[in-house]
Amino acid sequence: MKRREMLIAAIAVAPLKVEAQEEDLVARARKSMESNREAINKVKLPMATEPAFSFKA
Amino acid sequence: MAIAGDDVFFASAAELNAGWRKGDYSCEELTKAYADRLERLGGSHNALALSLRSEALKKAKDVDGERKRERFRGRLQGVPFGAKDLLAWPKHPTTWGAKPYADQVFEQPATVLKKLDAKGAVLVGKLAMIQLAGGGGYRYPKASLTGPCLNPWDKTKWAGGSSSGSGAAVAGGMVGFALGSETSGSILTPAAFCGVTGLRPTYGLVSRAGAMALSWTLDKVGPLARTAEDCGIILEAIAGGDAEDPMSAGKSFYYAPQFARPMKDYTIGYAKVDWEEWAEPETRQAFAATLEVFRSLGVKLKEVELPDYPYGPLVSTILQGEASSIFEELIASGKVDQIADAKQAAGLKAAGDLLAKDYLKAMRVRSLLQVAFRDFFYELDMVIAPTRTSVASGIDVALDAPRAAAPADRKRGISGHIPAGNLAGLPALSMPCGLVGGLPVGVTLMGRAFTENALLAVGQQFQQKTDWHKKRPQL
Repeated sequence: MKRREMLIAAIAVAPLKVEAQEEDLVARARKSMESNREAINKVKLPMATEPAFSFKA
Repeated sequence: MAIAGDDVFFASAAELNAGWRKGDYSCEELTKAYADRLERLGGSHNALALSLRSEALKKAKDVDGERKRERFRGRLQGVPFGAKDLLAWPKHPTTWGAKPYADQVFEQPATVLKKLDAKGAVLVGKLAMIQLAGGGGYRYPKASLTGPCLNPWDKTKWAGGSSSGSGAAVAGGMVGFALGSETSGSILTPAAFCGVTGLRPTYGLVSRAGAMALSWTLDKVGPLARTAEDCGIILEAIAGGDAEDPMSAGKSFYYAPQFARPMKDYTIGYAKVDWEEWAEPETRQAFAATLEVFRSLGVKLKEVELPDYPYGPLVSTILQGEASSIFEELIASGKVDQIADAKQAAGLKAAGDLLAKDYLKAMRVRSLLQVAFRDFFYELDMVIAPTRTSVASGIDVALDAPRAAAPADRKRGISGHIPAGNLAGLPALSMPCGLVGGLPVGVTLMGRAFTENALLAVGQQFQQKTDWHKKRPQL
């Protein structure tokens, strides 16, 4: 394979790698959201509890 | 009289104001000296986002004119300061530390900057920050338009985030004080890592109008300074109701050290496990000495543990839900890919998938948590804990690097005070309390909502007994 062909091949593959890495990071962020959900779901929450919407300290 | 020596760069804001009033120097001389230092050291530490030298010198001349006319405006008049680059200042870019917003210019100043301007404080520069105040979750300290902010105590270490430049600039004597913001740890962390005093005010006490929003129900603006006293003076200047901030509590703050109760009247909660187990081994000696200083003040120390809630998951879920709405356009346009940290961009994209029911559940649990904290503080005035359990990490170290898991039977103590206090909207004061291998560590006092005066009174007593806040990095 000529040097020029090798370079073209490398350039063609590079974006795919970046995309794969990005998908991986998004997937990891989603997984972290999932484990947050699981941790929060363990809290016993009375049905009448309203969200802290008009939040005041 | 010209500015000579370094002392003036490490004087408190109250001392700087007193020197100016006495005529030791003019505000113009002081501002020029600080602007020179900020441009020199702020540049080499990646702490400076934008110098405002010419505007500051013009303002300084006006302030000097006020002295001639004996028009005094309080204890910040004539003091040069810096502001985290998420606070709007007209005619100049307010970048939020992020490339997609590098050219953003607002017409109106942030309320807090308008208030400080009216008090005669002189804004000398906008200070570096982690992009978007860390929204989405960043992996490296270089997640900033200005690069990793270097710690003045050791340039191979990070200054902490997200108010990185505010911590570094105060520590390096580049500004008399600085403003930062906290959603979950962004004032306390740089204060601890840089060895300065930082105050996170009660949620709603300080207006966020003109500040970048990351999370409407968590964001706070507060000071980083050299002493607890300075934090009190600055808070008095910036606090107060503001119709421009829908979450404003409509309350003012009057710094009143003269009305502090005797130390023996304060009951302070602590947890042994924080100081002896959660703290990294090399920091424990410094923290043990700190606890002894508190004992020697005569306060009542009582062993306690924070209410049992999943603080980290709650704060992440609420922040993701609100940030994904705030930055929806950034994410949808694809411009989010221009930010400097791939993990952070991915975190913002993923946050868009958060379900409404999950956000609402977190907010419902937050209601329970607020009640739990009211009960928790029923017999306590405040709690103390190490601000961070370690010293600053290296600038190339991944912040999400896996750590050794804590033993399953270890008590939780107060170690979750940062997400817990932010969820409950509570005030906290971090003060330097030691040097470990040449790097600062900090101790935090956290109290009930709107009890800043109590935190500051105990903090002042601590700083009268110690001199950690007077230590200077070799620059």
